Amino acid sequence: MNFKVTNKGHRRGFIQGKILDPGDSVELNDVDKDGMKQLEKVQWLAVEKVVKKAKKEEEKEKIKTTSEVKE
Amino acid sequence: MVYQFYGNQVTCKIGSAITTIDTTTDLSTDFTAEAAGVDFSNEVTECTFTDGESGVEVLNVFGTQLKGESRPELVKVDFTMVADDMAMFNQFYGSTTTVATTWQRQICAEKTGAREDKSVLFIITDGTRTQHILMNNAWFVSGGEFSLPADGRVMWSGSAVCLVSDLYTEDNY
Repeated sequence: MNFKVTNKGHRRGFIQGKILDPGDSVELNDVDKDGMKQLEKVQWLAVEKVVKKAKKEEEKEKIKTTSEVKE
Repeated sequence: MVYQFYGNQVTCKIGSAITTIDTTTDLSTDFTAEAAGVDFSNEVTECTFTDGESGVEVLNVFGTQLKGESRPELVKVDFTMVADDMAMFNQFYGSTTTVATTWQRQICAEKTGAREDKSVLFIITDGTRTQHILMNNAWFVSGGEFSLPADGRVMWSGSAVCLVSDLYTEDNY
């Protein structure tokens, strides 16, 4: 799974090889289950699943296409 | 030549434990790659690092004296730092709960067996010569002691320990 993680703290942070200053975001790709558990534990991170967003957009596009076909 | 290092050349980082210490890279690079952690250098005023003491006792036998070695104690680090927020407190008690959108509440539990493995990294460098001290799989042994002096600033102190076999040190000179 892909995640967008943002440093919501006020200290410089380190996550999976990325250095994040406060407010910085980075996308972590192909995070496995262990990685997910690690992300959930990290206090200073705001974690957002990118996959979910993409799916929602896909669904929206599907709905659009279907409605266009109907028209 | 004796090299001297000063307090403003020390960096202190705390993160999650490193699963396997990489033998092909330095400890700082490994920490950045493997541990999810933060840099507390701007808040720490003092760290006292105590190596795991290994005592030696004498055993008198009829013909001579023998040295008997005891196994090493825990490696310990004591922190004193500016009480910036609850981040260090969280190292001991774990995750927080969000309350009323903007508040992060720490709910402390009395159960044992829930301590998280941490890694604590010290980097001492003058830009050329660098020493690394890494305590891996470290446990915080205190949720912190807050000092609230009437005539000074609010300070926090706490300590963490690890097994001597989880202690790694290296230098590049």
